[in-house]
Amino acid sequence: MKRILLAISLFLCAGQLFAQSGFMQANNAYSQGNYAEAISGYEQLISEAQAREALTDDYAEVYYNLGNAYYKQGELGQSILAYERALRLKPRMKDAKQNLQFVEQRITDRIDDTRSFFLQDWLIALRNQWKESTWTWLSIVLFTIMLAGLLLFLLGREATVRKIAFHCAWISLLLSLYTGINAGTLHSRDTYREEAIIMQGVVNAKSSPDRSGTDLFQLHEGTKVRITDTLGDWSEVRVAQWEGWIETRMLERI
Amino acid sequence: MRKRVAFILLALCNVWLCRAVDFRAVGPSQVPANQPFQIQYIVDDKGDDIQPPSMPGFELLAGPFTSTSSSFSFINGKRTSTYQKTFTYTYLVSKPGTYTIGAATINVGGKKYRSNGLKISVVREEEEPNSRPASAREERQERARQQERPQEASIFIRTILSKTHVHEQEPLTLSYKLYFIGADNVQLAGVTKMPDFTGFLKQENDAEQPSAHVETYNGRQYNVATIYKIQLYPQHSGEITITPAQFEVVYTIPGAGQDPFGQLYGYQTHKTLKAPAVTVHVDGLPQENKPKQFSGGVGHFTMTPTISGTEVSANEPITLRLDITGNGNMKLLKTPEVNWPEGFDVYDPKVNNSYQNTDNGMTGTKSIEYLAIPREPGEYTLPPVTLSYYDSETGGYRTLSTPSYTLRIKRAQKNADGGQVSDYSQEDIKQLATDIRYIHTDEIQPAADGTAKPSSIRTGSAGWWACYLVPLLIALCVLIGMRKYIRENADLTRVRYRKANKVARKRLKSAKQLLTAGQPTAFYEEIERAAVSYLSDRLTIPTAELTKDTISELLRSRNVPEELIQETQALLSEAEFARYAPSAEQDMQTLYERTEQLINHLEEQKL
Repeated sequence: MKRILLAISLFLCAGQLFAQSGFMQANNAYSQGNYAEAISGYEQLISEAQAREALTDDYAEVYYNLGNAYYKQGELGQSILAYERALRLKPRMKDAKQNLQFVEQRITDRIDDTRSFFLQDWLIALRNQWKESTWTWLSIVLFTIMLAGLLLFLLGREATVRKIAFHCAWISLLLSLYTGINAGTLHSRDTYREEAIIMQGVVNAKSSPDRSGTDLFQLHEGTKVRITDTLGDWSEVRVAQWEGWIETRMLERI
Repeated sequence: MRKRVAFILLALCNVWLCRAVDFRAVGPSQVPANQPFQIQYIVDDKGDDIQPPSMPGFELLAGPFTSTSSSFSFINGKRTSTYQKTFTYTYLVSKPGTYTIGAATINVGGKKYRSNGLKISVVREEEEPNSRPASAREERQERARQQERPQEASIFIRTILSKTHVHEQEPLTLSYKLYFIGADNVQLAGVTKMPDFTGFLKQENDAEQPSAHVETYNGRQYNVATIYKIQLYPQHSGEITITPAQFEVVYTIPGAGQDPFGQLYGYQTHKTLKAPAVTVHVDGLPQENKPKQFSGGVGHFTMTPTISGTEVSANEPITLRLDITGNGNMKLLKTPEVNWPEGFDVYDPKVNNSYQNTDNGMTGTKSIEYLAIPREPGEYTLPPVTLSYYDSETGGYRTLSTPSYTLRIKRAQKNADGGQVSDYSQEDIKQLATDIRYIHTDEIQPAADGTAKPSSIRTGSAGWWACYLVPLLIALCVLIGMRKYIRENADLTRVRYRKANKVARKRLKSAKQLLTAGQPTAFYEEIERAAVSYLSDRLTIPTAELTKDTISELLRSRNVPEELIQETQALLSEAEFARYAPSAEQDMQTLYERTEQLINHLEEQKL
């Protein structure tokens, strides 16, 4: 009787262990080349976390591995989407960046925005270095520094101290504004989820939100677009200097 | 008289010649029963009225056919002529046994001549005659016999395929064969149309020279000549039709006409012959179990690897030789790839083909020599070299493989003269391929329900507002609470500091007025105040705290030159002293100038 109980408890324990390491199981499937199984494992982990509203930054690893598994299956669109989502959780994850860049080289569309300016690109790249909350904290700290500097300037006796405090205050005010704007931009990006990935192999963007519209340009799987408007089943997207309507089901918001 | 004698002699000679008439019978010594055969009577003079002997058991099928031939030649001025007339009879004997044929008679110039007799043994039908007609003459007779059978001329071309069901790449032979009967001197005059063999790779046979032979087709015996032969390797699956070919032939129909002298002669004609179209059913090679590195080879092959050495010094070449022997589409066999380890200089393989095109495809050996030179010492593994092909004998894929070699490369020996190996060039890391980075395998900690990290702060949320507003409120409270102090602080320090020079100049100006007005006490007072208030404002310390010591201390801390500090001290004490003990007007003037200079100098110091 005792033995049976022991066996049952061991079994339960093992079951619990396995349940906890769904991630490990999926990783094992991946390492054995069983990518389809790995994909379903990772997807399940993510949907569970989303249901519990506990999609922490650690899930960046899950998204990253999911992206790898999709790439191995040849699904470039899904792969790019997963990497993008991983980077939303951990913007400075090197491997995800590397792999995203790698997979983006393998998609059909090469987006060459002729209007972009290097400084703008640089600022965007800088903004994407941190998450919204990081920028917010940075902004708050700078704001507080600004206030302190202001007080020191007003209350200080020594001319040098007052001088330093004054410069300190206006520089931190500007930086606080900049970081605050970055935080706000990221906030609206994550709230409205305007960026999307094309999931369909080939999509024709139309001039109007219906099937009879004129085909304006063609997009391929994996291309990143910005949704500027939605109407019924249609979304207006923008890629570089191109703008057109695409059926929403062909897209997946990041 | 002489002439007459000569004539008689000639006539006599002529009579002697006439007497030498040769009349003989020629026939086979052995024939099979129920097979037609010929007996010929040959006479070397103009003869007629031939009487064959009575031949019981012999059935006359045809004859007598007559043919004549004559030739003249002059040798050393002498004229010689030969003349031959042949009577040919075709007989058939149904009963085996030995028959004796008596002599035939012929009438030559009114004289009767007798031929020799013949002995013929007729053997059973199944038995082949022991000796085939060997002599050229007898062979000629046999052909004549064929021609003289009572049948019309028939000539056509057949398209013959060695196989009609083949696999992709499996060789098949196509031949155009000319069948003829009752025709003579058949010659191929030209090829008017040849199929383009679309869907095939073609290879001309380098086989033996085509020769005529006898073949039975549709119950009749034909002379057959292969006029064209080609080897085909189908390149895709499906039914491939080979379009018809057209040939032009010229031939003679023997005995078709009669010349005005009653002689039979051949009638030459030409004809366009069409070789019928044929269809080949080509099966694709099975897709299942098809090896990845399929070489395209179909047939049967063996592979023998030879390696020059597995233990060599660096910079010494290694040769790997593969001998692929067999039969099949050797020409299309891809050269197997050898994955030499990194650090080997690899050269293009040398391929030596020695094969023959036969009816079954190419047969022979393909030798491939791979040369590589190791550059770095170490132990390397040369992975097996594989060759996959479709075995048309067993009907499946087969993979031939060499063993995996372990190559031990020793350090290169230094040059005999003790010199160093000069090749020390550094190399960049070679990029072999790019791939995604591997997945992360560290276990993650799934968060408990609904506990997002406390650090995550959302723009526009209450916490966000609080974080900005709380410090702002604190700052405001401080400002409001200390507003009086701030105002004072701002007035006393900032404004006074800025206006210090202005105030000093004003004081100096009034001092000058006092000087000209002749009020020394007021003048000294004004001078002292100008200097003191200037210093107080500039050094941002209240006048009450301004002593001589603090002044020099503060000036020193601001890196003011020592003589200027001395001058300040001197001026201050002089002004103080003079206030109570006024001196001459001249001194007052110099004091004023000194004070002005001092303020100017201090202003330059940017306190």
